[in-house]
Amino acid sequence: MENFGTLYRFELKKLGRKKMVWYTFVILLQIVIVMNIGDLVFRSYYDEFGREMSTYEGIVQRRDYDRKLSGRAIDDDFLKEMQKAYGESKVVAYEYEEDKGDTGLATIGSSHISSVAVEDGRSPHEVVEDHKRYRGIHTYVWSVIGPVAAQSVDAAGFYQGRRDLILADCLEKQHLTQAEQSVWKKKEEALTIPFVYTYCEGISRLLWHVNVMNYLWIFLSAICLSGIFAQEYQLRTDQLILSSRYGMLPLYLARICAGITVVLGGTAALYAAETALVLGIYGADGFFAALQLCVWQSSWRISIGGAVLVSFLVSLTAAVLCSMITMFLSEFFKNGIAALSVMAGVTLFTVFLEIPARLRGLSMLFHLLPTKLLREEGFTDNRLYFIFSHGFNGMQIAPFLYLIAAEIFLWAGYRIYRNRKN
Amino acid sequence: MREFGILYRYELKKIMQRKIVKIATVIVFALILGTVCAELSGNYYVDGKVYDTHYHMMKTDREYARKLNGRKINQDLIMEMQDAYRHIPENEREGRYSLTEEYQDWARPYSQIYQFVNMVMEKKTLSDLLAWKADENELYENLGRRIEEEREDAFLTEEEKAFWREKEEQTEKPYTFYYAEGYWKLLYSSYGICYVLLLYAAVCLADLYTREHSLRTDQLLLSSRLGKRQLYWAKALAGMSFAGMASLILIALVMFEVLFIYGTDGFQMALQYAGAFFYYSEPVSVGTTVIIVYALILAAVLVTGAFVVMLSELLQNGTAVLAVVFGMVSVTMFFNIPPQMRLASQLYAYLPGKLLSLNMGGAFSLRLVRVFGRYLTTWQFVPLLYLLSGAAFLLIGKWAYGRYQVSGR
Repeated sequence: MENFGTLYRFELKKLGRKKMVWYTFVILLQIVIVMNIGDLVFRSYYDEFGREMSTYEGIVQRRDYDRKLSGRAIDDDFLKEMQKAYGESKVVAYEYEEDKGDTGLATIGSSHISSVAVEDGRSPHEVVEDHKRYRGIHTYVWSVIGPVAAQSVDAAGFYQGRRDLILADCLEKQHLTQAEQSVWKKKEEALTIPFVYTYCEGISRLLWHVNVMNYLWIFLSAICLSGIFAQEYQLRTDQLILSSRYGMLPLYLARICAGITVVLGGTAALYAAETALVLGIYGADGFFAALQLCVWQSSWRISIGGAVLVSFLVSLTAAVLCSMITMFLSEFFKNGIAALSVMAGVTLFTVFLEIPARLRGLSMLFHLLPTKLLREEGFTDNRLYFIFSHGFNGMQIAPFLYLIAAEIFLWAGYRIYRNRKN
Repeated sequence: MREFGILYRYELKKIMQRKIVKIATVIVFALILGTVCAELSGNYYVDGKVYDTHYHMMKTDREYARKLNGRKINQDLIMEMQDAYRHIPENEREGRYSLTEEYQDWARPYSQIYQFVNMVMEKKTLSDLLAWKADENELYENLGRRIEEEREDAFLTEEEKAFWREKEEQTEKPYTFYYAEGYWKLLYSSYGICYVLLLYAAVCLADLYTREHSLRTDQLLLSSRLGKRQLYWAKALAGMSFAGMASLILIALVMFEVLFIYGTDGFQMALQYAGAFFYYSEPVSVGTTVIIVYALILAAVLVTGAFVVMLSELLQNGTAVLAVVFGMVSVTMFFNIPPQMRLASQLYAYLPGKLLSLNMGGAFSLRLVRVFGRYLTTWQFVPLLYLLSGAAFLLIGKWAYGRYQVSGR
C-alpha cells in the first residue's frame, strides 16, 4: 500500500500534537492516582481503641495481621478459631482515658465498636487483638453467609451455604436454563475445597477497579478520536484528499491504525499506573489465590491474578472496538461533538440502565457491553453463549465478538468515507 | 434593543434547527419518559414461573397503603403490624416469607409500616423485629439517637447541631402515614434525570460560540457596525432559555406520567419517613421536597448552560467543552471527597451532578452555610450560589468574546 508507513507516522504525529489528547491523558492519570492514594492522604483511620492513625498505617496493620493467616485452609478448625475470637456480640462502651493505657476502649459513635465479648474472661485488650488477628477471615465469611450465620457455621455449612446462595441468585436473577445449571454444577464440583485463605487485598483491588478503568479508557478514545475524521470536513481538507492520486484506503487505514495505537497505548499506560500504585500500597500477595476469595459468587476455576490478566486482555480488545466505533461515528456524523456525545452518552447511560434477565437474549447481549462485562459480575454471570453446542461465558466470547464488531465498523466506515461527495 | 429581539429569535432558531439538537432532544425525551416507570412493566417471576405482574403488585400495595392513610405510626399501629406479621409461620420467617399466603393475606397491608419500623430499629431479621416489644417511645428515641449519630458522622459544628435540634423539635411526632409512592418515585428518579439533562444541555450548547470560529463567520461579525455585545447576550440567552425550556417541559411530562400512574396522594407525607432522609430534621413534606428538587434540577441546567457558554468561548473547541462537562459529570458520579475535609466536600456537594445525589452529601446535606448571620441549608443556599456563578460565567465568557481577534489564518 502506497505510503502507508508515512501516512501512519503522520497521523500519529497529528494526534500526538493535539493538546486535548495530552490533557485528557494527564487528567485520567490523575484520576487513577487520586482513586488509589486519595484515601491514604485525605482520610484518617481510627483503630478499635479510638486512636487516630493514617489510613496507610491502618492498611499496613491489617496487611500484617492478614498475612499471618495466609496459607490456612478455611476448614472447621479455622472457622472455630475465628468464631471464638469474635465471641458473643454484646455492645459495651468505655470512656477512653489516657492514663488507663490500653485497658479502656474508646467509643467514637457506636459504629466503631460493635461487639466486645467480656463473658469468657478475656480483657477488652485481648478481645480487640483477637478481632484484629481474625478480621480478614471474619470479613470474608461474613460477606458470604451474613453476620448471624458467620458466628456458628462449620466448614460444610459454609461451602454449602455459598453454593445455595449462588444457585438462588442464578435462578432468580440470571434465569439459568437446565443446561446452564448443569454446567455450573460441574464447575462448582471442580473447585478445590476447602479454599485456602490468602491475603490478596492488592490483587483484588485491581479486579474491583476494572469497572472504573473501563470508563477512563472509553472517555480517552471518545475524546481523542471523535474529531479524527470530522476535522477533515471542518477544516475543508476533504477536497484535497478527494483529489489525491493515491486513493483513500491507505489514508483511512493509517488513521484507523494511528487512532487505535493511541488508545491502546493510553489504556496500557493507565493500567500500568494503576497496577504500580495498587501493588505498591497493598502488596502483590495473592496472585495465585483462588478467585473465590475475591469474588465469592464466582465458579471460575482461576486465580485472582489470572482473572486480572483476563480482564486486562478483554479490556484491550474492548478498547480496539471503542476506538473503531468512535472513529466510525466521527465519519458518520462528520461532527466531533456528535460522535463524542453518542459515545459518552451511551457509556453513561449503561450505568443507569439494566435489562431484566427475563428478556434473556437482550439481557445477554447487553451484558456483553464492556461497561457491563468488565467488572466482578463478568465472573459471576453463569449464562452461556452456545456456539456449535459448546457453551462460552461472556468473558470467553467477548474478545472475539469485539474484534469481529470492530472489523464490521472498519469496513462500514470505509464505505461511507469512500462514497462521500464534496 | 430592537436588534436584540431579532438576534435572540434567530439564535434560538439556529439552535433548534441543528440536527444534533433535534436528535438529542428526541433521545432524551424518549429515554426518560420511557424508563422512568419501566419497572412496572412485565412480570414478576418466582423460581422461573410468573407470579404476578409488576403493575398489579404496585396497585395492590397502593390499595393497602391507602387504607392506612392518615394513621399515626404510634403504639397501636406498630402492634397491629407485628400481629399481622406474626401470622407468618415461624419456619418461614428467615426465608422468602413474602411468598407465603400468610404474608399476602395478613402482613402485606402493613409492609410500609414494617419497613419504617425496621429501618429505625435496625433489626437483622423478621424474627428479631417480632421479638421486640413494641414501644412507640423507644422507636422515636432510637430514631433520635440515629439522627444524632448522623450529625456526628457529618462532622457538624455545635451551632449546626443546635440548628437541627431546634428543627427536630418542630417536626410532628409520631409521624402520620400517607401513601405517597408517586412523590418518592419522583424523588428517587431525580438523580438520573438531572445527569441526563446536564449532558443534554452540554450537547446542545457546546457549539454555540465555537461554530463561529470553525465556520469562519467570526470575521464577518467582527466587522459589523452594530458591535458584538448584543450578539453575545442574544446567543447566551437563546442557549440557556432553550436548555431551560426543554428541561421544564420534560420535568412537567415526567411529573405527569409518574403521578398519573402512581397517584397524586401523599403530598403532605413527612420527608423523614423515608430511609434515605430519616436524618433530615427540616419539617418538610415529600411533595414540597419534590418541587424543591426539580427546581434545583432546573437551576443546575441553567448554570451548566452558562458554564458551557463560558467554556465554549474560552476553549474555542466544541469537543473540548463537551469533554470537560462529561468528565466533570462522570467524576461526580464515581468519586466522593471524605467528609473530614469539610470545606472541600461541602463545595463538591454543590456541583450540579453531586447536588442531586439526595443523600448526606447532596441537596439534603446537614451542613449549613452562614449568610449575613443566618444559617441556610444546602438547597436554600445553592440557588443563590448558582445565580452568582452563572452571572460570573457569563461575564467571563463576555470578556473572552470581546477580546477575541481573528489571527493566524
